[in-house]
Amino acid sequence: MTTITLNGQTHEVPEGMTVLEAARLARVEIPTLCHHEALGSYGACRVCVVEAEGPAQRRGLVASCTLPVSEGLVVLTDSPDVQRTRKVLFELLLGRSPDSESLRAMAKRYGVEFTRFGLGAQHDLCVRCGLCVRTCKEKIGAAAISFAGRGQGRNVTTEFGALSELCIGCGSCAAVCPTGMIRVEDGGGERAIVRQDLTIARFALLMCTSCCAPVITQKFMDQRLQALPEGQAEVLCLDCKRQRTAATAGSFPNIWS
Amino acid sequence: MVIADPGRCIGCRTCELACALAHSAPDALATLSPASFIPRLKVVKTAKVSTPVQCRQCDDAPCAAVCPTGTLVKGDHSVEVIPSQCIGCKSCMIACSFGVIEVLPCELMVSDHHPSGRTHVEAVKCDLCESRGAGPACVEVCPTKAIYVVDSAVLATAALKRREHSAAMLVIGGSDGYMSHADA
Repeated sequence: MTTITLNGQTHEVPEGMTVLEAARLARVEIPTLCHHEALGSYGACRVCVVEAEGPAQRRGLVASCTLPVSEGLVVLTDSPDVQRTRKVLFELLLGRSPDSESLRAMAKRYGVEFTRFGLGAQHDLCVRCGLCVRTCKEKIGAAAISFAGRGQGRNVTTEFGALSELCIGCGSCAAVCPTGMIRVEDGGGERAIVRQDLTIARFALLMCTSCCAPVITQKFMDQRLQALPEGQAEVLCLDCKRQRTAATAGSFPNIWS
Repeated sequence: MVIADPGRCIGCRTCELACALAHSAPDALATLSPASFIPRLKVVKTAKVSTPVQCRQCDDAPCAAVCPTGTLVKGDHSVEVIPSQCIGCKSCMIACSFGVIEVLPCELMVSDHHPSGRTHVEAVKCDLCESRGAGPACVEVCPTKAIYVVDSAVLATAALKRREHSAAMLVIGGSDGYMSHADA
């Protein structure tokens, strides 16, 4: 265990943890955009900034998601310096994505409602946090989207901006997106994964074998369910599965008599 | 696991309400909305049967087998969910053959796990009310006592009963046509 001081309180935390994880363990609030527990540290958005000083750490402002705890570390999560820096960070992010409601709500929580910066017509919802890119590559294993371009032109895109052949249509990118830039649009038995102005992929959804409701994509069935025994993966909607469960519930061993 | 006797269920959905409340903030009843009403068991009503269905806590949990992030973990008596790990791929939803796991946007847990207020989805299923001292809320509220906690002792009793039943059938010599040597 490592002893750190968090906003004046001493905490014992497991070694190897990051300051952000330690703060969450101690229920100290630190905002994050690019952090996801399943993906580990990345350090792209910087809004988790804290002031840290310790025997092994020169006093300064650091991103808490990439800073490992060390013995005797003193961390301030809401000092005047942190507050000022965080406000500028939110202003910069708002300059990039002024229309994102979740980002606006988060910025407002930290006292930022307007931004001095703006990109004119170039703004979009994406804050370039990379969660979608990392989820798709590291967890789903599809790597259908990645960053391309540099500077202001940096963007999340498919290969050559064309419809992706690698995408399996799971929608994890949309689920982890903190600003709502990527969406899953289901309708008419089809699924489209859409990044604001770019369609990442389009699929025909397989129909429930019992009621014909659209369920899931063929590529998803082929690639995500390999851990299941042969023949156990079935295309059945939730309602039909539940009805089958209910219909067979009566045949459960007669523990009730 | 928790399981219900369809013969006793009257389809009142009290268990659904108790479940949703047991997994919400203490004062959630007044503010409950369709979006925040997330029961982990669902009462299914068909022409023939009405019964709540909920997670069977499978030993070979297919949901845990397909989860790419370790959100679903096989514990001692249940399949546990670590909500913060969920990336919303819905593999578990497709893998579960009982239809008792769902991936939903969860407003309720945001303040606990994500003080940042970022959008969040997570796998939602029966957790046997492990954080609740008194045991599963559905079992407690069911007006007809249709819902039971099934532990290894109950299963052992059930197995014994069935063995006794089989033995009785052999002695009677198939009075109900079951295992009848005369018919063979």
